[in-house]
Amino acid sequence: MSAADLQSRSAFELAELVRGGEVSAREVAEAFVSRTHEVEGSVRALVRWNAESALEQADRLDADRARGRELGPLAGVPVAIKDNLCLTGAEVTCGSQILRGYESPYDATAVARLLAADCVILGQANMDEFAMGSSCENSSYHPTCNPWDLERVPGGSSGGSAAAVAGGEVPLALGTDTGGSIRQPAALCGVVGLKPSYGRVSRWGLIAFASSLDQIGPLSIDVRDASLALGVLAGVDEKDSTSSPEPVADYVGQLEDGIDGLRVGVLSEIDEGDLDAGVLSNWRESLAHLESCGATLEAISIPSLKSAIAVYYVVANSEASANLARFDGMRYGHRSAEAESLRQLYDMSRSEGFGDEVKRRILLGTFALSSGYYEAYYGRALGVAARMKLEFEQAFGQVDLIVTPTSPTAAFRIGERVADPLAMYLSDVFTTPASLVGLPGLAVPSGFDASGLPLSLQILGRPFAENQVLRAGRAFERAAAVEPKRPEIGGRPVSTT
Amino acid sequence: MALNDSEIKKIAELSRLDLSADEEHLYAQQLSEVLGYIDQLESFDTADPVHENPLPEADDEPRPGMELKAFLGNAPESLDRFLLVPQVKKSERS
Repeated sequence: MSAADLQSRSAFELAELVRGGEVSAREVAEAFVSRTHEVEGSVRALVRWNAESALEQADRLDADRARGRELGPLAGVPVAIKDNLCLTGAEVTCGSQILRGYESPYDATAVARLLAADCVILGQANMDEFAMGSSCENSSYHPTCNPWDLERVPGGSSGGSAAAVAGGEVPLALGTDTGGSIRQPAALCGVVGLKPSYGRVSRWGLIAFASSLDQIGPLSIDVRDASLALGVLAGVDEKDSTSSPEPVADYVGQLEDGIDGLRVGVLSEIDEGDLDAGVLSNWRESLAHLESCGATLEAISIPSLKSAIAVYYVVANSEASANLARFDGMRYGHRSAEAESLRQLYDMSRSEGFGDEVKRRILLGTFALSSGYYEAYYGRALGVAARMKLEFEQAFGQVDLIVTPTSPTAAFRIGERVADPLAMYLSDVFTTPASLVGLPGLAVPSGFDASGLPLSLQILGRPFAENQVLRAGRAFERAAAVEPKRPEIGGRPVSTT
Repeated sequence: MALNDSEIKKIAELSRLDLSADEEHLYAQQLSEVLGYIDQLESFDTADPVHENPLPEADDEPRPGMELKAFLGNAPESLDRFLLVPQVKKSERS
C-alpha cells in the first residue's frame, strides 16, 4: 500500500489494517512521518516531534503482533497530543515560556489510555499559551498556520492539533476544550472535534486552566474516528474525582443508527445578522441536511445565551488566576535570575515566564475574585451560568439535540484580532455555552465558503449523550457529503528539518 | 467599569505580577473594555448554583507518590533531598 494511500486513511481504517496484518505499524508511521516532513515547515502545527521515536514505537507494536499479541483499537495510529498533556519523559510546556524545560514524570490518564490502545505518538501540538486564545497566536513558540490558507489562523487554543489533522500529519489528535478550544479550531481547519461532557474523560495530567470547564477530547478526520477515540478515552479514573462513573457506551457500534425522528432544536437567539454571509448560507443548508435525515427542527429559546461570553470570561479567568498561582518559580518552571528577595522572585519569575494574554487573564480573574468585586462579577457570573443550565434542561425536555454554527466566521487572518482581545473573545460565542453547562459538543465539517475556507456545524446533546451527538454527526456528515479533501499546502518553502 | 492605572497596580500586586508602566497602561485600557462588556451580566436573570453530585472523597491513607528524584528533577534549584528557595527570614545574628 502506497504512502499516499495510507495518508488518506482514517484512524479506524489504519487500525484495522495494522490489526489484520495488512500493513505494518512501521509502514503507517513512515507514511505520516514523511507527510509531516513535507508540510510541517509550512504549517508548524507541532512544537516537538520525533520521527525516530515514532518509528521505534511502531516497531515495538509490530514485534508484539509478531509474538501473537492482539493489538488495541488504535493499533499503529499516529497521534499528536496537545502540549498541555503530560507525557512521560517529554518536555511539556503548555505553550509557555514559564514551563520551558519541564520534563513530565508521568503520563496523563488520557495519554496513557491512548498508548494502551496501541497508538503511536508522533509529536506534541502547538497551542495558545495555557490554552488561552482562539487563534494559536498566543503560543510562546510560533503561530500555527491554517493548512487551508497559510495566511490564516487555525483557531485555538488546540490550533496545532487541528492543523496537524487537517494537514494530514496525523489522522487523530488530542485537544482540550475550556470554552471552545477543540470545536472552534476543528471548525476553522475543516476537521471533526469533540468536546465530551464534563466528567466523561479524566483530566489527570492535564495542566489546569479552568477546572470546572476543562475537558479533553479528540480531533479527527471523520465522526467515526472521534467515536473510536472517545471509546478509548472515556471512563472513570480514581485519579480525577470529577471523572464520572456514568457507563461508557459503544460509540462506534451505534454510530450508524441515524437520527430519523429525533427533534433538533434551533436557537431563536442566533442573530443571523451576526453571521458571515458564507456561514449563514451554509447554516441554512446544514439545517436542510438534518431534515433530510429525518430529524424535525424545532425553535427553542435559551434567553441567557447572549451572556455566555461574559459569564465564561469571568468564570474561566477567575479559576485560571487561582490555578496559575502554582507557577511561582519554586518547585518547577522558570525562576528569575534577577530577583533579590522572595517576593521579587515570585513577581519576576511570573512576569518573565507568562505571555501577554496569560497576564491579562490572570489580572481579570484576580479582579473578579477581589474583595469588593467578588459578588458583582464572580458571584453574578455563577448565578447567570446556573440560570443557563436550567434553560438548557428545559430545552432538552423539548428536543434531543441543539445545533448552531460552530463559529460565526471562517478562519480569520493571522494578526487580524491580536490587538483587540474582546473581538478575539467573541469568536467563542457559540461554543462557550456547552462548556458552562457541561454538555457534549461536536463540531462537524459542513462545507466551504466562497474563498474555499472550511465551515462547521456544532451539535450539542444532553450530558453524557455523546452517543446521540455522534450518531447525529455521522448522519449529517453523510448527508452533507463534505469531501474530506486535503488542502493544497503551498506558497512557502517546505522545510525538512 | 473602567480601571485606572492605580487600580491595575493593585490587581497586579494581588496577581504577583511585576508590570512595566507601559503594560499597566495597556492592560488598564484593554481590561476596561472587557469589563465594559462583562457589565451586561447585570441585565440577565440568575439562579442559585446547585451542586448536585458531591465529589467522591479518596480514603485518607498514604499511597506511593512521585519519586523524590523525579520531583526534584524539575526544581530550579535543589540540595540533597530539598528544594532550594531564597532565604525568607534574615538571621537574627547578622
